[in-house]
Amino acid sequence: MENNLLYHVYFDCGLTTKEEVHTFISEMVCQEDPSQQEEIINQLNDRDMAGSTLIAEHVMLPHIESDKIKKSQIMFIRLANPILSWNWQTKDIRLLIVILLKENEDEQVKKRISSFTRTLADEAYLSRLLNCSDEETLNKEIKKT
Amino acid sequence: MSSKKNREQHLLLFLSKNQGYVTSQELVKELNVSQKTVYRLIRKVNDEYMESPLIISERGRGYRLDYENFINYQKSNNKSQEKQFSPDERRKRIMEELLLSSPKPINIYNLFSNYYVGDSVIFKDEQLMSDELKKYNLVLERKDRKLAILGEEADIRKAIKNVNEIFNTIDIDDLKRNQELNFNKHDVLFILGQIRDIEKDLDITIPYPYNVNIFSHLYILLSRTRKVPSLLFPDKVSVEEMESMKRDYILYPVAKAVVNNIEKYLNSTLPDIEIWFLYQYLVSSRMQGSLAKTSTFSKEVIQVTQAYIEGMRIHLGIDIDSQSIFTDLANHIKPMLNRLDYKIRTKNSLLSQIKVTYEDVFWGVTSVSEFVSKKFNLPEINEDENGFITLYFAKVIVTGQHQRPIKTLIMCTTGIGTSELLKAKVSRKFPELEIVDVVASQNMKTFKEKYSDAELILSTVHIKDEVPIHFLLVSALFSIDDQKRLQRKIEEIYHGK
Repeated sequence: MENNLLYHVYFDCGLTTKEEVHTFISEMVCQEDPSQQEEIINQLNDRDMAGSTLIAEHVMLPHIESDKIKKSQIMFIRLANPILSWNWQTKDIRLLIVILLKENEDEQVKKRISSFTRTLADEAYLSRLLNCSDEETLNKEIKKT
Repeated sequence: MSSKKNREQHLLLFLSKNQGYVTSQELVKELNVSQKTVYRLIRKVNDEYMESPLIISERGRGYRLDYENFINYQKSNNKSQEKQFSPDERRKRIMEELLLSSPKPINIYNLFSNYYVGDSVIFKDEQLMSDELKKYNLVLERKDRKLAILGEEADIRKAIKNVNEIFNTIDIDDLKRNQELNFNKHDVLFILGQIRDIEKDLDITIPYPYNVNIFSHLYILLSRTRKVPSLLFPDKVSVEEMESMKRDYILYPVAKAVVNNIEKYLNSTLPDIEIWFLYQYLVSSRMQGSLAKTSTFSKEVIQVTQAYIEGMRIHLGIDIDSQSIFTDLANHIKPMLNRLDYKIRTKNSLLSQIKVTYEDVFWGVTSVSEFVSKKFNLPEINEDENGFITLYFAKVIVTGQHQRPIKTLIMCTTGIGTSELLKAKVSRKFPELEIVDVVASQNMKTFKEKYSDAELILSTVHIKDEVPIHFLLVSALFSIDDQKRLQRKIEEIYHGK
């Protein structure tokens, strides 16, 4: 299957708060329908409140499953400048790996996403993702999985 | 060692066992002393350790050991201090001198002249030494202002070994380099060469502490023979015992060769009983290598080993897979029975640590040992031996060989996000968890039915509903703190709380 449809990289994003990040994600997911964007934002907020998605220093892994998502995907949001205060306990965020899962997704796709998340347990790999200096390198790193 | 010193050590070991902070209440309970004494002990330890506090205190949390400092402290603590002897040390040194020259008498004036003590102190020392020597069946005799120690050679050597603490603490690899040990360097090199030859001849390695045991034996043999002609030894070994030794085609020639080498080295002849002494040490050592891998044991070894496994199974209340531990333990029990028979005491330098770290296991082993020595009509099994055996059972517990895996569900909102990541991290660090599935929190109801035998849910998200099984919220980071909490949870589950 084509990796390109599953993985999306956004490099040097000028987002400065959690709210901006959530809005950005929702816009990317449902470009054509603003009313559904709000639903996505709510879900992201709920997930954020349910428990921290910080998976390593500077890296977060927000993830939701929603019927508003037309196509499952993994988004890499590399921030131009760190978000120093995400919330009261999460500080200095530089990279977000967002998993967006379509409701009742095909098992095959779920498995691929799972196997990708498992690779994030490798701290060295995670740190390579975090420290990619340009979009091309980041793309290359991702394609390896 | 005075009880004060013991308490300090106990305190340090207890703190070293606990990675986090320990409250003063816990210390009061553990040490069984008053709050004031705890404060005083901590102040004393910190005062003695000059550079920075060894025990860190924090208001509201308690006490914690600065582990790096602690390791340094232990190292420096082993160094010999200034040459001022406590009464205890004075008696030990005098006793050692007497033991080495036994049965020759030594003038009291010469013995005590270095210590500047009066007659009443000398008199008291004599009494205390006499009491101590009784433990080894030895007699301290006073005649014409001279003292002498009388008794069997085997007992004298045992006493020398126990009196001289160096023999109990040495690291054999350290011997060649360590200047402070005050050993005769030529003797040390010669003996190490002999031990190497033994290992080469038998194609084995003799592990710690048995190598130290043989080293001490040979070192004492050299010291003794230089001071006293061997003909004076009163010990006798029966002809049958000698014959049975000679039938051992493997170890007897080795013992004989080493004694021959010693005779050449000392340029004097030694009685046959020296071969017998050394032979007993070889039989009583645990060896690693081709010769050592025994899986056939005598009936007694099998029964004693089984008695330990069964006794500990009951004491610890766990299933011990006897297959996995039996051969290891039996290979230890076999030489141990020999040590008991020939009263060879192998000092266990880790004993105090073992007692604190595996307290429960140690006391279990102690009571099983009492039972075993009664049932099989063995001499009393001492603390050092109990300490060694404890390690075998501690290993079973630590490696989780006995424990059934805990059926675990890992949960996040989607079931493929943080939970999948957590699964990878958890399964690497906690093999005792059997991860049955990774699930999404919104599907709570369905998986509760599907996995009705699951015992634990690890989740990266809060859940509002009551959960009927163990539940632990962890961060997707799976930080050290999370790992500790999970460890505690696992213990909670195993202990059925």
